[in-house]
Amino acid sequence: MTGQQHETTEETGSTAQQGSVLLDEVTKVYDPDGEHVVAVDDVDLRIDAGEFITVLGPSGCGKSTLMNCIAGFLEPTSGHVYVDGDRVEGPSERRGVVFQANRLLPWKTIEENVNLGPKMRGELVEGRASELLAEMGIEGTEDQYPTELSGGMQQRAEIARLLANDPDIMLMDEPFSALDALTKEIMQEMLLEIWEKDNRTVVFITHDVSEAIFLADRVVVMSAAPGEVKADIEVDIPRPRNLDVTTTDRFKELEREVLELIHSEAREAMGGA
Amino acid sequence: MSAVSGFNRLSVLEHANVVVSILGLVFVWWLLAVNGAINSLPGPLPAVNAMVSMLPTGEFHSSVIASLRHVFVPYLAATALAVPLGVAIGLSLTFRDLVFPSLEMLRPVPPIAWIPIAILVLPTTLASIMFITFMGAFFPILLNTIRGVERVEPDYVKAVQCLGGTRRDVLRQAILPAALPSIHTGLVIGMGLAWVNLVAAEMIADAGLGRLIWVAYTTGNYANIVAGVIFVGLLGYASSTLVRWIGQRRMSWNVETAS
Repeated sequence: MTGQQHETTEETGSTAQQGSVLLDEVTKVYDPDGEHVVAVDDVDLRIDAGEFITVLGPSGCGKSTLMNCIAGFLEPTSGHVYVDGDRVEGPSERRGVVFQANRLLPWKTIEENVNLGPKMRGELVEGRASELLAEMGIEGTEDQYPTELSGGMQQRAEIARLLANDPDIMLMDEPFSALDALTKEIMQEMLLEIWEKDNRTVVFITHDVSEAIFLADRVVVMSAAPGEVKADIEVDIPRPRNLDVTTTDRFKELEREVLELIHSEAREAMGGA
Repeated sequence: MSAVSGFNRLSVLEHANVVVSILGLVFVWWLLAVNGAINSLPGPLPAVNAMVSMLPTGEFHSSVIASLRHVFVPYLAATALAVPLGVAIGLSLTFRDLVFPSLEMLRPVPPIAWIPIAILVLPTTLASIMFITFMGAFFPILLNTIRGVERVEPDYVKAVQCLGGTRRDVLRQAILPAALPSIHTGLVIGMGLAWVNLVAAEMIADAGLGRLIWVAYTTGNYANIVAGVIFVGLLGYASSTLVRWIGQRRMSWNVETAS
């Protein structure tokens, strides 16, 4: 009896039940030289397990700060971040981060980079790295150093490194902003494919409106100075999606709606100043 | 791959430049000596003669061995001490405030100034000599280690943390490798300064190339002085090159040190 119960718990654990995020009145104030800068102001946000949300906003709206709070790199000045009901008190392998500029470790080969998480936790599986690299379309790069790969390939390797660690939540900080338009589109479709397979929670930061809509279940629009949630827009475009949906009427409509929000915000900010 | 062929072409060019540079130095020296512009400076030829006649002597061999010992033992000790200390200072602001100001006060003291203190305080002459070469190597290694640790890209640390790394992992996987190029620079400079301090230290020695130079000076054998100086220069250069070479082999990933 008890054994069976235990098994059920384990099963729910391994499916997409884990990875819900709750931001409860999160405020982050930077205080350099006594000068208060409110980066994130009183943000309430609930992200369900397995949900793909994008956080959209102009630079300086505190979206990276918000992500750093979820990752556990930063502690909110007030309010709390909860993951599956537990308060976030520091970084964890359950919340993996893909960085804006590539943060593969340059002194490790691609394979060593991908194996880093499992190796540090003593759960290294031989051959898993090659499997993931092949899945990401960059097989054969095992023994190369990050600087020997193009930006897009480095980004694939970084995602492979994250997947090797099997996190519940993927936090992505403008991961494709440095890529050329074509590579960016390929990476977006690839990310959706990966997500549709494992249904991990994804929090994806971007300032690109069509990227935000194309990827997300929900687009959270933030405004700058102070960083607040301006709108939370459901994207009701059916999945699985490919880039063809970006030409549909519904997509254009959503795009207009979001752009209108951002522009009115910008007008307000300029009028107020 | 293109980097490799580029490296070869560059290294041929570099070797040519090294030869030109040294020939230029010898030429200027020859001009100064032949014209009698500098009183009693031996020219290149007498110096080379002195070097050749010195080479097979037992005194020369034992001097070289003594000098290598006077440099390498303190150098390794300085490395073993300065690197961990530099990492600790680079990581902890409190530790830095506690330790660094007093170290900074000791740093500008010239090697010769240490000699009387070393003789007074340390039990043997050998210990005094080694202390002075140690001081030459210690500070460049320490300062470059601190600088390297302080300048580690914070995202490397975050990357290791969010992959489940402990504090120890962060140090081993992110901070130390990221600081290594800077530490290596310190090790190369430190080796050079250990040799610089050596000749001063060996003023009080009973063996070594520095002593050879001082003996030649007191006996008025000017060609031998120059020969000794050249040998010190050559050994110092070879030692630094060795450290640089080991470093480059360990850091083949680093574009900056590859050339």
